[in-house]
Amino acid sequence: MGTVRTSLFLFFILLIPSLIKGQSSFLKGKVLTEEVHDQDHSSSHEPVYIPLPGAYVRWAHDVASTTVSDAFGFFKIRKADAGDTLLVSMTGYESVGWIYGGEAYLEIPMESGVALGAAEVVEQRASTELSLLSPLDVQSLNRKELAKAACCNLSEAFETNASVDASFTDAVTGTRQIRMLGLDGKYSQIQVDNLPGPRGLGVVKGLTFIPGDWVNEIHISKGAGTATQGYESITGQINVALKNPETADPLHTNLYANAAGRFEFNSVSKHQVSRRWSTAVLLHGLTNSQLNDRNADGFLDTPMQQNYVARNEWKFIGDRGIRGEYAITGLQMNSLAGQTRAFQNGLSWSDRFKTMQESTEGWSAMTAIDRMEISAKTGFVFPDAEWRSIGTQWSFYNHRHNHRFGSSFYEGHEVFFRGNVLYAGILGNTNHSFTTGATFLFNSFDEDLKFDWNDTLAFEANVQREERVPGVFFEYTWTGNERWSVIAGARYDQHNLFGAFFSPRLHARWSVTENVSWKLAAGRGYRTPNPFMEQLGTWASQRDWYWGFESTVKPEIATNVGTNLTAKFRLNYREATLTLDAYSTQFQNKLVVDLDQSSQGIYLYNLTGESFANTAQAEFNWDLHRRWDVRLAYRWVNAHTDRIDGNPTQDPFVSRHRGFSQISYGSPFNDREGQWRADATLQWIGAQRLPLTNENPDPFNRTDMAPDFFQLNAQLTRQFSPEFSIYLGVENALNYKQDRPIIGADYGDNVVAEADFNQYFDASLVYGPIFGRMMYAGLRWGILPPAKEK
Amino acid sequence: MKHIILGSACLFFALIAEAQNKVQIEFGVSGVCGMCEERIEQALDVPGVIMADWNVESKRLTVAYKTKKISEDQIHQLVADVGHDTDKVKAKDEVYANIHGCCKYREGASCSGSEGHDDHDDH
Repeated sequence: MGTVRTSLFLFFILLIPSLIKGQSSFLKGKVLTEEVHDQDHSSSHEPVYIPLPGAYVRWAHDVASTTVSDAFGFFKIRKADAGDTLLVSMTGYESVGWIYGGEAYLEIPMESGVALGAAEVVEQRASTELSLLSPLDVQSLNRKELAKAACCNLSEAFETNASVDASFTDAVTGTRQIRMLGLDGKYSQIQVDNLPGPRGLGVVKGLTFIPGDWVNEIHISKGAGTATQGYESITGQINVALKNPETADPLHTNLYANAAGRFEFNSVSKHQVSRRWSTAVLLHGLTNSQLNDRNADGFLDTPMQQNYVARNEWKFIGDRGIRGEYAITGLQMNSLAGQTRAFQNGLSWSDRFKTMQESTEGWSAMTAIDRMEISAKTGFVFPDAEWRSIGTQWSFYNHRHNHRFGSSFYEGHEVFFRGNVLYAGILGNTNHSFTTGATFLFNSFDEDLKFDWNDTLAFEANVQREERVPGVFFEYTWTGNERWSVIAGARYDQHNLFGAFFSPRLHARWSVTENVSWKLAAGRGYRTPNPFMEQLGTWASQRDWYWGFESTVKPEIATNVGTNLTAKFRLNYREATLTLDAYSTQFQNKLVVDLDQSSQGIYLYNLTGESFANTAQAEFNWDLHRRWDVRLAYRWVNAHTDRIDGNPTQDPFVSRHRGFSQISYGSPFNDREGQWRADATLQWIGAQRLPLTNENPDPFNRTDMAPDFFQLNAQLTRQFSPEFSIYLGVENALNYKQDRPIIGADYGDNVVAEADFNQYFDASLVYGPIFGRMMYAGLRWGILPPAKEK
Repeated sequence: MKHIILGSACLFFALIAEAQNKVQIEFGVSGVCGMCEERIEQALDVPGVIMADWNVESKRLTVAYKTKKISEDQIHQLVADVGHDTDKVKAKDEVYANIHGCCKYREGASCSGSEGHDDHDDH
């Protein structure tokens, strides 16, 4: 009897689609949930419903019909008979059985389930995730990973990552720059919420504008990026997803202090303003007014700083697939560095900063950055065809960077505007999807330079450039097969100064087995150089700039080809991942930075000959034990650039070999979800070539190769509850310090004559830590989203 | 660097040497969703259990454990103690009554989906 009914039932199901041909065979609908209010007084109001993404929708009789509601709560399911039951379920919500009455469109409200406190599902994802399915070689770092190194901004957040290096630009300003695939960070496209991030004149300093506590996730994509976001990606894309009104907790605050006298405050708060609008406010403040000179060379080891950054974002979620994100960011950064004797005048910080605009007693440096960013993103998903969408992205920034290093002055002003319109659709079915669109980019640079060589001799220059670049792009994604997927894209941009830029990009993934995937990436990228800001560290030296300025400026062009093999397996019954990758970047043109032609100059010229960077990396992640995670990595880099006059071809400040090991521990949670966490990262940085200084007399010369060294960072976190935790950490625990980092400083071997200082001073030859061991401590306190209660 | 390589090599050999008295078993455990998975796997966070992985789709639990420290029966009991029926041990009604509404597998609650959607990008 039972079987007869089942087969009859099945017969009907099979028949239904053919019976209702001619009219739409799909039921469309939307899953909603009642908005949870922070305040009690709103409970008397009428309930407000918001879309619920990620809910499972299926017919009660057919498990195979299961579908998932999209980001806007929409779902689409093959129609069934009136009277059939539609089941809608989601973790943490009461399942709904909806008797279907034959409608074409349904709105299904869901109520959140009984709160069980600790039983609530916590996303238990590995803190660093490598996707086996995306054709892009993307590594995602979530908040858990970022919390492993509490310090502080984006340039420091990569300390626990094996793919991106962070190193100092010079020995005085404490500025860090990143390096990816053996090349400077300027060759990576850094984005914030998928919009242009640190670039242009902010390419080096820009990383310090992004506090780690503001970050929700970082996606690191090695190799050529996608074509939709511009031509600037050469070695990879780093997309920083900030906490926004959707992902932020109602309140998050962080206080940080370190032994170098740096204090930081970060906060993120969000507020649901109305049914459709929500907002988030992000604040950052940093101050450091301590004079540190641990190596007694007469120079501050860390700069004195005062930085403020504020951001406000508004998010709009409309009923019918309209979505918008609008943000404004303002920042001000001031820093002072140099010889301690320049600061021994007992002035307050603000007075001191004012007087530092002009030369001081001793050598000193001051930097002032002002920046404002505005961005707007609006997206529209067609309610009757969620595979079709239109998006617009507008971003604008106004960036001013003024500095004085000794008697060299720089004033830079950059204005950037980009509009990007994207249309996504499918070709026939969802196995063939595409994104196409157009971009307009405006970028103007105005840089004034002044070098006072002595009282009577000075050199002034002005560099101006205005770029206007319209472009179009098309990107096709094929996901026709579980084992294969391909993204093939290209963009064509017409640059007003440099003519046509054609950037093809290709990514392919092959799943060799369910747990092994092999990826290929190839692409070409372009960028225009701004060497005065890209070589920020060189300002901290007496080197003269030798560059043909506008007459010789040409775009940098490079092709990147790479491959990645990722295998997931079990080792001793526990999950492990092995990743092997190899990338090669070949430059067709490059603005070569030559620090070897003379120890008193920096020579910049266009590439003649070849320049490439080849890298190979092996990374092993192992979930050693329920509470222990291990990561081991090794990287080999060969970065080569032909320079004039037979100067060394190996790129300086790049270690050919680098080792990385990390171990993390998390104790079991107690009743209040308290936990102990400990992380330790040990890195081995192999020998690096240093620019030649052998023609300088003693003691103004250094070795041609820097020694290899170890760096150990460790952190202990005590989470008292998910709302409150404190941490204590140490950077450079082995107390490794670069030997005599500043050429021209007095390391007790002799008194440096002023003439010698003026000729040989160079604080830009930095390969390792200056400050030595540094302790830090901080706390995080916040308010979590209200528990779901019935 | 040499020391690290040597150290990690020693670690691996130590693990291999120890592997003899370890067993991996698989059995059915009733449950519904990711919340159940959390609860089941959490219940086996005890000495002797090396790995516990419950598959939300197949409703099967894979456990690797050290035979000297814990027995198969004890593993079944631990799972039943948090409210989930196993192939061998049925959870007590009063324990079952306390589990979350959406996990009530005996009443046919269903969150029929799998948890395998993590890899999708959502931008």
